[in-house]
Amino acid sequence: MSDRDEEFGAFIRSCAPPLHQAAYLLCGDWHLAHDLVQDTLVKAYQHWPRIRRADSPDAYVRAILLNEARGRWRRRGRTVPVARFPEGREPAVPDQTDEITRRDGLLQALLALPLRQRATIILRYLEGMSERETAAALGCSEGTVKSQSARALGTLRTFLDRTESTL
Amino acid sequence: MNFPTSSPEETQLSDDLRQLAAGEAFTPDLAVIRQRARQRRRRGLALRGTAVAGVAALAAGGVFVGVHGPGGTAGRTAADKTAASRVGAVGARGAASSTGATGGAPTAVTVAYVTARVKSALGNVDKYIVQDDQVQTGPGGNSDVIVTDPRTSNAYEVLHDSSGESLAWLSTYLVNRALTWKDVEADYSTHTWFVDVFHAAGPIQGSTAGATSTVMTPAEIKGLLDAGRLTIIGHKVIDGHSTIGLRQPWARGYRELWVDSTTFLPVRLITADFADQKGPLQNVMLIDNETWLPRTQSLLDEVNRVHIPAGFTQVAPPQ
Repeated sequence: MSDRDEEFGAFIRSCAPPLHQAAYLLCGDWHLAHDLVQDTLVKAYQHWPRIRRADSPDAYVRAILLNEARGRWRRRGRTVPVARFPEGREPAVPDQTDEITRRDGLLQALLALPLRQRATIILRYLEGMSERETAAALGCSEGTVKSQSARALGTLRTFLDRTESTL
Repeated sequence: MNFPTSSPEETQLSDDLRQLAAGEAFTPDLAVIRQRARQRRRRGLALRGTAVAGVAALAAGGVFVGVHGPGGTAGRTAADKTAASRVGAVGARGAASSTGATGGAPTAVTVAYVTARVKSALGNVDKYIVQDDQVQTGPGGNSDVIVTDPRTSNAYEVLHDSSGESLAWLSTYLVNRALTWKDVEADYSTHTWFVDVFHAAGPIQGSTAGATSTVMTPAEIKGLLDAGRLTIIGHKVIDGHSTIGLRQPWARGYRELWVDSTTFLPVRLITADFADQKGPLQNVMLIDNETWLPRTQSLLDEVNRVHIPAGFTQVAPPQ
């Protein structure tokens, strides 16, 4: 195996799992998420000499993922899966019914957000990125991240308030 | 409603997102990624050529200058090389240097004169086998050799990148008027080979000649010349050929075409694409050096017949 492959292999072993999770929350479908990440890593491999020199290879690869998601989002006509059940996973411990319902509601609300707002939420609250890191990954200003976050959180809160009131 | 930094609401949201995203494991397969990256590069170049060429190019037929390249040089015979030298020497006048330094004997020619002569020369490309030695600079750079038969549009490629060497044979044909591309690839890093076939989305008109070739077709070169905005940028000696250079602004960079000053066949094509530094794109410069080889039987076999190396195992194509 070449040095490049060894280095890239180590990189993707660490970044692929969180990338896969982010991809799932972006598209709401595990199979599509798998394809998204695979395509992202193929592009990352092609551009690895450049990516490895970047300030943050992780952020660079997330930018590729978001571009891939954006392209698919356009091609799929902005369809949003609805009434889906969590796939391939079971809670580690018995959960309360209302918790499951609430999280499912959160996923539906997340998928209904515009892609940029959804990406902002995922980077900030799943990946734990700062506003600055999020701005770098999205290719926008920190101010835009703040405004996108505020709008997205407002929408999520409204949606969750409605969900909770029906429980 | 606000979610102050580290507020209970934010913490809850983070926990919920982690719960939602937990579960499915994902293990990346480096071998598949590497194979797909190679395949993607070839397809990208090929389909870019198709998009540029369009129906007119398909009707015109014939393959010409390469934008990508494999090599086949390993099996080249001494006789072929000698013959290649003879062909390469045709029209090389005043080849005082092989360094390519700008200079030579400037000739008072106009863009209109040069383009007319190049177009005329392109009408005879099917008398040759075209070898394109290509170097791509920038991230993920590679060096390839592509040998193409302009009459069949078949190509034999030797691909070199940081992960090693692979061989590929490309051919195109029609199935229910849908363009079909067959790619046979042998990978020396894994000692495996595969056959991959894919189809265009819909029916096409005309010939498949050059439709998915990774090299530019005569029609594409003519299209480049017809697009205008050309300037003559000088004379220099390239691989023993006295050449004239033309330059044209292109996308985010430029294209340069260096043609033999006697035969007016292309000797070098440079495609410079300076991508946006902020995006996940790469800056690349493709340098294609063309050699016009005689149509010997050994070369025809090399291009038009698949030869899987002994001991290689067939595997499924990368998905």
